[in-house]
Amino acid sequence: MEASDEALLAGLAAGDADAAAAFVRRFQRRVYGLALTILREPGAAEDAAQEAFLRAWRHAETYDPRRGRVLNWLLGIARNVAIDAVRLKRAEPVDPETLAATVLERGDADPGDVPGFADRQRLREAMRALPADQRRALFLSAYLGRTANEIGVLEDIPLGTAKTRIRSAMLRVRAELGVADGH
Amino acid sequence: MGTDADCHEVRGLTAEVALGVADGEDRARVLDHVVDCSECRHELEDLTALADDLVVLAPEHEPPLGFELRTVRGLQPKRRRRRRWRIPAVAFAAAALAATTATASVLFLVRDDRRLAGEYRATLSEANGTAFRAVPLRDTAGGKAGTAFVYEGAPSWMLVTVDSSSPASQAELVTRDGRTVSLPAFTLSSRSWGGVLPLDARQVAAIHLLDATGRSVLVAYLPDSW
Repeated sequence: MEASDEALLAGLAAGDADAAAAFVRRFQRRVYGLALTILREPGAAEDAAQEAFLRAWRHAETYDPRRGRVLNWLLGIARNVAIDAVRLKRAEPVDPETLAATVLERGDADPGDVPGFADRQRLREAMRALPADQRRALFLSAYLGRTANEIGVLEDIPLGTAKTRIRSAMLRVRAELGVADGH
Repeated sequence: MGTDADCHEVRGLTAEVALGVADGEDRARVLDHVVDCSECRHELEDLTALADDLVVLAPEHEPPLGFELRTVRGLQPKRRRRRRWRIPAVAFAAAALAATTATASVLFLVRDDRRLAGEYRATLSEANGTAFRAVPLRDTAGGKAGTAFVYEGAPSWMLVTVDSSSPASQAELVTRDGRTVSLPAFTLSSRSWGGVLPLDARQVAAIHLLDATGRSVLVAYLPDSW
């Protein structure tokens, strides 16, 4: 029987070498994929993905299953590592339209085997339905860690407008998903 | 419970806090408020869950070959010498006997450790070998899907067995200095395959079994020293 994500994380925290290997094997494509999406450069993405696993190992005991799945927790770490790397390199910010195209146009590799595939497709559709300016603001903050202030500068809009775009996008997507759920 | 004005101000910030892009002052303001305001707390929880889901949309991507090995090595605490010393005397001997009789299943009989160690040494000496190791083969989900038996000698060789049908038809070794070495194509007849290695087995850090497209479907890691 296949070990659960939580069991592997517990094994990782306890220093179990087999659990560590299984944990990396299970999540490496997702962690590396997210790092590559943000950093756009394979070498930097590999460094970031390795660092994300290292931080997950060091802080495994902080994972709280009530606050979300192991995958979400791990990808949250990977996102932060990749954003730090972007800031450290002072790299040109990725064009949010390119980012959106990468994330929204490419689906999961093998939908039949991927848990949560339908939920992710609905989320993609809700993101596609956003007005372009709100979608850009949401991608800049969710994937690149840009603050409202930075988005204001990048998009050449007032701070208040940037804040409104972020919030409106989030509420709109949430409402779309809520309607689809029948809430 | 906050006032309507408090809630209005906080609701203007919850999305940024959920996305992790609020500054420290705004974040503190929101977190302080939601302690006593259940409506704003629910909104923050909803938006935080949504923000977490957004990054899950990023497409998967196969990392470079050797990524797993390099990453796993960084995650392993230093082993205790005593523990490593005790396991091989029994486990290795049993694995060696099983592999050499080509049954590919470990028939572990209760024997005296000393006698097993003697048989182990005799098996190794057949090809000037010094070590034999069995390591788990893992599938893409991290589950154990078989075993790789690796013999260090002249020549070094390996035998892999899988627990169920597998699309693996090629093998690639990752060496300790980061090189990749391709092995000839094979078929997993009777769910096993074996062959001579073109290098010393101790130089092998990982064994990847690949499908016809070259994607790694099973992997086994060898410890740094054995």
